[in-house]
Amino acid sequence: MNKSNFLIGALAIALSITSCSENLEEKIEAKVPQLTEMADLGSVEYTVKKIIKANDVGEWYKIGDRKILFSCTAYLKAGVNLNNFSMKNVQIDNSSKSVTVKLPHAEVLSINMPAEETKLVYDQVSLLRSNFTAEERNSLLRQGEADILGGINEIGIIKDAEENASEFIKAMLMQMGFSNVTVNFE
Amino acid sequence: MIKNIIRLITVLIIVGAGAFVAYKMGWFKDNELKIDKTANVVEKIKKIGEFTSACYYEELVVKQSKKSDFNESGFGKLAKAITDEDVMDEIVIIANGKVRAGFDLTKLKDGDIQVQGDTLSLTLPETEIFDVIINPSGYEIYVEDGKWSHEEVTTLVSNARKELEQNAVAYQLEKKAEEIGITKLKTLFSTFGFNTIFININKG
Repeated sequence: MNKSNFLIGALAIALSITSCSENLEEKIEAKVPQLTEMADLGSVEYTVKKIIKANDVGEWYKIGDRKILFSCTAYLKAGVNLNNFSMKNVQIDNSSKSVTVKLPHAEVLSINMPAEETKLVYDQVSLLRSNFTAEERNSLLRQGEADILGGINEIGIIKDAEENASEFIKAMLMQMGFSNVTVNFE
Repeated sequence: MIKNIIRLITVLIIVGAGAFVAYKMGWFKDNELKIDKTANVVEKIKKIGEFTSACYYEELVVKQSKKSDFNESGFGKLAKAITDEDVMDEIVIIANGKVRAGFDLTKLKDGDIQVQGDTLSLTLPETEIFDVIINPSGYEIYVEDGKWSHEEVTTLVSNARKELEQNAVAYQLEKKAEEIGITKLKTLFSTFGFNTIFININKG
């Protein structure tokens, strides 16, 4: 009986180890590069600084607290997505050399939060608490990233992106021989 | 004496059962650590004119191991004396990254756009890589054994970022971005009434 219990236990451990390594192997095999075609006109880049901090007082059964503070930099690029741009977006009046262009509203095209520019500034852990793990730190940084993206309406990046895109397209079309260029966003 | 032992065992069983029920009901569950609300401070605003035509995505696995601090402890030394092996710390990170490439249209100079009737001739700068991105939301700590400092993780993610850029270059992302970009821009400018569009790349 003892032997069979031992065998079952050993088999379970072996299976769990194999399943973990297979999972990792699968993930490594899934490393297939992909290419996506795009047509984004990025017109503004914002450099945003943020302090990411957390105070973990812990659950009722934990004694002591933990504090952590990061300083990070994120680069946000915004502009217009021209993937669906077609004849429907353009009205040309050849007699007056005027053109009216309807562009989609600007959006944030990318956020780049380089690891090298994310500094751990402060980290304090009470005697009876465990240190912050890499996974916990990453979870906090993810929340910081989401917070930056969630606050784009407050920093005015979309308005700037539309103004710059409009200015850019007007200048380009003027160089192409149009005398009157109107750019609308909808 | 026996009565006392039975009482003690009964108390231990009740406490154990209570703890089990509490655990099952999630009373010991760790809540996700939440960040405090802080301001997003805009430090710099830069006008750009990046026409991104291709984006390369890749999932990378980076791993590292090192001798554990446990080896320096009394138990660690004892374990090494028995097994003759060091205890190793290990970390495995799965990182999803992207590389964006295209034409920097702010580099267009006077004379790069020429129009004759319904023919447009455009000379574009060479394509370039704009961003190599691995954000915190793009990587997960798959295995974490032992202590790994923020700086050590940063170095690993940085290395993944360098590898991602090298792979994108080896994949000829810039050449592909050029081909796709030319097609996209021709389609775009044809909507402005140009029937013939020539796009050249300034290889200088």
